[in-house]
This record gives sequence, C-alpha cells and structure tokens, in this order.
Amino acid sequence: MTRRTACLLFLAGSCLALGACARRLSVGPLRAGVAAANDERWDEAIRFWTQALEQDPQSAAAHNNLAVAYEKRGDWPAAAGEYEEAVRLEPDNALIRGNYEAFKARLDAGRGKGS
Amino acid sequence: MTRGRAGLAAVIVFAAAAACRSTAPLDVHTSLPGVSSFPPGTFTTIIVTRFRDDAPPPDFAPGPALEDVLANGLRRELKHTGGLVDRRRDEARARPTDPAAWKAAGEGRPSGAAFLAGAVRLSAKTLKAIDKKALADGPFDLARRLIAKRRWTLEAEISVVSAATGETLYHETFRESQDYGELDKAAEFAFSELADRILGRFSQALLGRPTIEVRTLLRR
Repeated sequence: MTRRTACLLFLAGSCLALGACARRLSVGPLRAGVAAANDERWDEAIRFWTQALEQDPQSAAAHNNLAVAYEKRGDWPAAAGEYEEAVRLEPDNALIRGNYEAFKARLDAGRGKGS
Repeated sequence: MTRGRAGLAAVIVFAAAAACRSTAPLDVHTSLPGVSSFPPGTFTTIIVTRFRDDAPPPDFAPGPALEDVLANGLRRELKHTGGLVDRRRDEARARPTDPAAWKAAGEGRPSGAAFLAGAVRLSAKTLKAIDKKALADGPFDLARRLIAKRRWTLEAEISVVSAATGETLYHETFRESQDYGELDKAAEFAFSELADRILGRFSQALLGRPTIEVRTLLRR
C-alpha cells in the first residue's frame, strides 16, 4: 500500500466517522432514549423522546418510541395517540405499522374483542 | 509507518461503519402490563369489604385472611397505575345482590371506587385409598395398606361492585384444592397456598395479565 493510498483511506475514514458523529448529535435524544429503554429505564427514555419531539415534532420515530413507552406504562390512550401520530407522519413505515397493529390486537384481546 | 497509517485508517473505517449501523431499528422484548377487560379508570380505588365465612374451621378465620391477601395483592398490582386499596370491614352487611345498599355505602366515594365483597369457605377432608404397592407384599395388615391424604379446598366468591351505581361489575367463584400428605397440615398454611392461587386468577381477570411483547424502537 502506497503512502498516498494510506492517506486517502485515512481521510475517507475520518469523513465517515465525523459524518456519523454529526448525525448522532442531531438524533441524540432519540438514540439516548433507545439506549435507556433497552436498559429498562423507561421513564428516562420518555424524557429523551419528549426532548426529541421538541427538537423535531415531525419525528415519526419519536412518536413511535413514545407509544411503546406508554404501552409499557399501561397508558393505553396515550400510546394510541402516539401510534396514530407516527402512522400519520409515516404511513408506509412497516415497523411503525407492525407495532401499532400488535398494540391494537393486544388491547382488543384483553378487552374481549379478539377473535 | 505506512502500514501503521493504513491500519489506523482501517480502524476508523470500521468505527464509522459501526456508528452507522447503530441507526438500525432495535427490537425490544419487554413485559407489558395486562389489559383489563374493564374500561380504563374503572378501578382507581378498590375497597375491600368484609368477606362472609359462614363455616370457618375451628382454628382459623378465612374471611379476614382472604381480605388481607386480596388487599395486599391488589395494592401491589395497582401500585404502578396509582390505584388505591382501602379496607372497610363495616360494610359487611350489604350484599352484591342489593345495589341500593351498595350505592348508599358508596356515597361520597371518589369516582372509580369499587367495592370488593363476597364469601369464602375453607374446608378439608381426608381421602383414603389402598396402596397397591403394599398389597403386593401380602393380604394381611390392612392398616398398613391404606394411604391417606388431606384435601384442603378454598372457595371464594368474589364480586366487584361499583361504588357509584351499586351495580355488580364482576362476579366469579374461584375454587382451588390441594392434597397434602401431612394429615395435620395447619389450616393457615393450606389457606396461604390456595389463597395465593386465587389472588393470581382474580387479579388476572380484573387487571389483565402482563405478557412479554416485542416492539421495535426507531433510532432515526
């Protein structure tokens, strides 16, 4: 490997890393919330995702994640509201739809409306 | 030197790739609270009243004991929803079939209050059977060939009555039995095991059962 190739590789790598870091800053609360939720710190996750929504109210991801957190709390009306908003913002997002369908099916089954 | 830089560059590239990959959605397996068959807010306060125990065993009173089990169990279950559990032994005379009496008892209660009432019966009987293994040893000594066990049965009739309307919202009779080899098993111990099972079934019916679910969290 020539010195020039090594320099080019170094530069490319640095750019990629910096790009990733910059994106991490913009979606910081969203990812921090996921990390907290993954660690079963759901109250903290809710704070992060609420913060994410303050930064970007059109974030379907934040609405989706908040819906999951409200499900975890057993706050079904709040969860339904967040899912509906997430689906409205990204109607073609299969992951959000999958969560929402699972939520509705569980709620219906629990209330005796299931098949 | 050149080889060192190339290595460093490779490390950075891998780090960048890892950073990019962390934007992938994350599936979490998490326990979600049970879904009650009752509309939300139906039970913000549950008032455990006195349970009838018409034929208690001589050495144990299952009525107050079941009230304790239900009150403590529901208190734990309702903790995360902010629900309250209260005890009122003076409202014993009202019956689930008498809505007017329950409505009168419920006056001044907060909305979402419900009474828990009912009856409990703890009974035991000794079951005897021939031990077929011992029979193979010979036809004599009948006493040695009999095996005995004590069957304890707890039957709890539980009603949930709206404090606002006096209407019975839920009514179920739970029955649990357990056989014990110890013929002198104390009623209190048998009750404790059986009452825990009834509490589990009742709270599941009332508040739903938590289940492990998979949900996808998004990172971008």
